[in-house]
Amino acid sequence: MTPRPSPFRFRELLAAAVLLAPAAALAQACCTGASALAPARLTLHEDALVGVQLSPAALVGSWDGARAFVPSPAGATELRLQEVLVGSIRFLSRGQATAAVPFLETYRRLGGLGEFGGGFGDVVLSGRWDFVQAGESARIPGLAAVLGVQFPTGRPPESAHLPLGTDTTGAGSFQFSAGFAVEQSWAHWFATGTALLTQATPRKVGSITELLGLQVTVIGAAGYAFDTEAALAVTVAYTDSGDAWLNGAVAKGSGRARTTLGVSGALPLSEDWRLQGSLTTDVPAPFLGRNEPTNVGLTLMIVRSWT
Amino acid sequence: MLASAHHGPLRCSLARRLALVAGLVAACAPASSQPDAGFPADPLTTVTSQSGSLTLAVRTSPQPPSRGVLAVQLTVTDASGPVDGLTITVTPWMPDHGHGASVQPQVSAQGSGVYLVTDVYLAMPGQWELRLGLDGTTHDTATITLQIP
Amino acid sequence: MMTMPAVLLALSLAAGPELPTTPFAASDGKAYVLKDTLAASRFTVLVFFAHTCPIMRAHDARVIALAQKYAEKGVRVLLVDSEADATAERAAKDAAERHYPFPILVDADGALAHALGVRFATTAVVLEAGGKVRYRGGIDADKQRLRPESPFYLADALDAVLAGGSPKESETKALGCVLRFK
Repeated sequence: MTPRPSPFRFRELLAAAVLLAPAAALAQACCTGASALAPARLTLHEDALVGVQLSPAALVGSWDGARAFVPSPAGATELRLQEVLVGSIRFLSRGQATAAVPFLETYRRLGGLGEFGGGFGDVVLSGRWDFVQAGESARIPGLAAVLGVQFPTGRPPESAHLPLGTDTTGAGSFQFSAGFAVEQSWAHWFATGTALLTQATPRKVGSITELLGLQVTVIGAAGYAFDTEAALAVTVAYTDSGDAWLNGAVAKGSGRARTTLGVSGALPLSEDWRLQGSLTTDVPAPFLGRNEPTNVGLTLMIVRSWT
Repeated sequence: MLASAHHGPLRCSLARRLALVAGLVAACAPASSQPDAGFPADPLTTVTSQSGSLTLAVRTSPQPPSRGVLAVQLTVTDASGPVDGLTITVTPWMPDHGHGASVQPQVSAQGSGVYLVTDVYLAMPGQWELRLGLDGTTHDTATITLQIP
Repeated sequence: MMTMPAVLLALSLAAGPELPTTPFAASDGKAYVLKDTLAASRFTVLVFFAHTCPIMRAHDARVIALAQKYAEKGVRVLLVDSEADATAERAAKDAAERHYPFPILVDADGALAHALGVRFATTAVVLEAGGKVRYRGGIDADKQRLRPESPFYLADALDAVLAGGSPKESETKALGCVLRFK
């Protein structure tokens, strides 16, 4: 039987796409966590890319402090749309750096009030170093280090001008992320895992000083690359953070958690253009989250690359 | 970025909506729309101030509180009875997320130890704290915890 | 598995890399001692091959046409499979199925690829009879979709060295799959 070629590089497109999935779900502008992941990763041989990402999302409820899921009450609507301009460049053959510039718009309808706001968000700079390229070794999986910084360039909630805060576009503090990623492939199948630590800097608002707890994010994905050059993956992401420090004392029970599931895809349109997308949902079930809103979101990204 | 609020029903020209999507302009919104502040007889909760000398019975409208804009009625008493003459500041804060709200609530004294807090905008689900400064005859603080669905 | 730093590698290639001396099994059943194989031709082109790489497969026709065109000018083309699971049996099957007029050398421990600093399939290395590297890089500037207007780096390099000169670009990018070494 003639062995069928394995469209290997779409594993990498998917690896880039799957990283979009949890980032899209972690979409509350005030409170982003591991959004310092690079939303657009250079695949093998690419030297640079630019892209535009569009992410609509809807708030469907929240997890409370007891990890119970609380659906949004009747009459409460929150819809968000985020556009992100992304650029990545390669350096020293195994490194890549990415800048992401977001714009956000939010619509809220709560009771008799409707409000629409938005603006420029928190810029993210991130980098990746591939110590071992995926597929380079039969024994060792691909291994990379990832780093990211989110800058408080957006508008934090206290600086918003609108009563329902729809023109909130930023978290109001720096956030630093660091972690590693592993990838391995077997013919048409591939799997990736990413683990990140994220820490925000303290915020001082009036007489209140708060330092959010250290956040751990773990993302897993498994996918399949078809002979037609399309590829699909399923993703699961879990984020957990410790209690915050509020005015020098631990705010017990303030830690957060969320579980997000997603389906991601990648489709090369030509040698230089590709489409990436994902559909994600925070899992609205007990015990899978804590002190976090739950969202359903979609992400589409068009990328132009240079080799 | 510019931001604006419009009085009355939501009104937003096409040009402003397009400018909004372009990230140039922050908003279209109605002005504050206060709830009909009829408070229930039973308080939602009762809290004690930091010093222990003041007791605050808390009623909200709506009760239980929900996402959006609330009014809060505080009935402040000490060992002697109702406490008037306090200057109360209210700072909404979400300890789980490390941020506050965009609007500073307004407090007006109603007499007999009753204080009305309006413009309490709690737009995000989760646990909110209303962090109170209680000044005047005393210098004290208190925190009201609200779970907003 | 780690390749030499680029500068040291470039110097080594310029001086003539230390090539493996052990014979390579091949798809045609013969054993190839590289030093003797190189000495038998004016120039030898080694094209690094990967069994499942779609970019290699897309370039099959171009490599075959190049081999046929330059054979009469004293250039020999050989494929090299440096992946961890390379075997002579599989190489024979691949060569037959893909109608290669040249053998596939089996470099299962990756020694030849490492000596020449090769990491990707479709990397072509042009060697003089004495083993000095004259060109290393892509066959052209294409991945899977081949364009008639694509710069044909390998052919241009061969034309230059056959004319007694040096390639305009002695080092270019090969856009093939990552070679899976042991």
